[in-house]
Amino acid sequence: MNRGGWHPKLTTWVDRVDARWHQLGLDATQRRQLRLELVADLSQARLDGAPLDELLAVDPDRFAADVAVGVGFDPPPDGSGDVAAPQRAAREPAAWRLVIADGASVARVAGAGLFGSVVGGVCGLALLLPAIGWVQNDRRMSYHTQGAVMLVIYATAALLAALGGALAVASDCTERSARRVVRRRAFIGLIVSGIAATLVTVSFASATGYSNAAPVVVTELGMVIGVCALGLCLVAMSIRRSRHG
Amino acid sequence: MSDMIEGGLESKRDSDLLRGVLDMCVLGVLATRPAHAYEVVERLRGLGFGAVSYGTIYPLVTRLRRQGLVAQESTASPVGPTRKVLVVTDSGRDALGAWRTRWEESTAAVRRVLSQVDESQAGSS
Repeated sequence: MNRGGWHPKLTTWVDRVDARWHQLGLDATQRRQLRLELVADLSQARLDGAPLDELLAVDPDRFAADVAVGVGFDPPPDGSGDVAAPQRAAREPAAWRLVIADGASVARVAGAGLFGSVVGGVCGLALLLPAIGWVQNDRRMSYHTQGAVMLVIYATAALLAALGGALAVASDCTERSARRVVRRRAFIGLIVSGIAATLVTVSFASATGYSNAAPVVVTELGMVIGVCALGLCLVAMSIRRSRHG
Repeated sequence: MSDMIEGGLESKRDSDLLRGVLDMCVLGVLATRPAHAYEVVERLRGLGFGAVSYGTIYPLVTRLRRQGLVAQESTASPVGPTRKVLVVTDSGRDALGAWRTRWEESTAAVRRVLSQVDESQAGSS
């Protein structure tokens, strides 16, 4: 086993501990704090040479129950049992609480992605403004060439927007080791949903005769945001599925 | 069968004994030098607590932190990022001192009982 660094298997182990905390009924804020502390401690243990197989040998369910008791979560009526034995039976959280918790985390990913995309898109356009000005003022360029260059510029701005969104989603991820995967999935999700949003919106714009009336523009904006948010939700759900099985 | 029952009882006794002393031993180890949870495991093993593991110590440390006997502090590291270590608080030192007094009284009483056993066995033989 390799020594000295974080290992993806530890992320899986921490996920199981977290899932057990969830089952026990610890709220999201408490779980997030406990998880951060556990990840920091495990990282330090690994840096100091703790063998990976020894850490992974710890039963995550039992560990989660013991930590929950340690933080004062529904302490047992008596102190009987083994030192590290689970002190109480697991209490299954109500289904609606799980749905709300899942919905909240998916919404957070979508919110972070949209915010990052807007920031990335605005920054991208600001950087590309001189190029846009150059294309529009260059009279030697044919109409078709001008269109092609503008398409490249807007595609670059879209890529920067997707990159901004992906970075924002990944920055919300607590484990450094998982950030790359999250970033990649969010980036691909934003590109795909961006293309879908463009197709839907352009079709709508074409149907309205490319109207620039305020209600039409607002609807088009809503379509872009809605389709991108839907894409981000699907990304968030796929990440959750792959992490929790 | 009786061996199995006795083995089980011995295992339970070991577990009870460990449970009774481990939290104070963790405080003792941290009072010597601040450390993170796995370092506490290693140091306890080095001192003869072969059965302790990260799965035992981390939850225990979590409880000690909640009780205010231990706190987490950041310390600068000459290499790498800042380290977070566990340190014994003033309350923790008081608890350790009180436990030590009780431990010495208890072990003295146990020693007296065992001395009587030794004396009675010596007298009968």
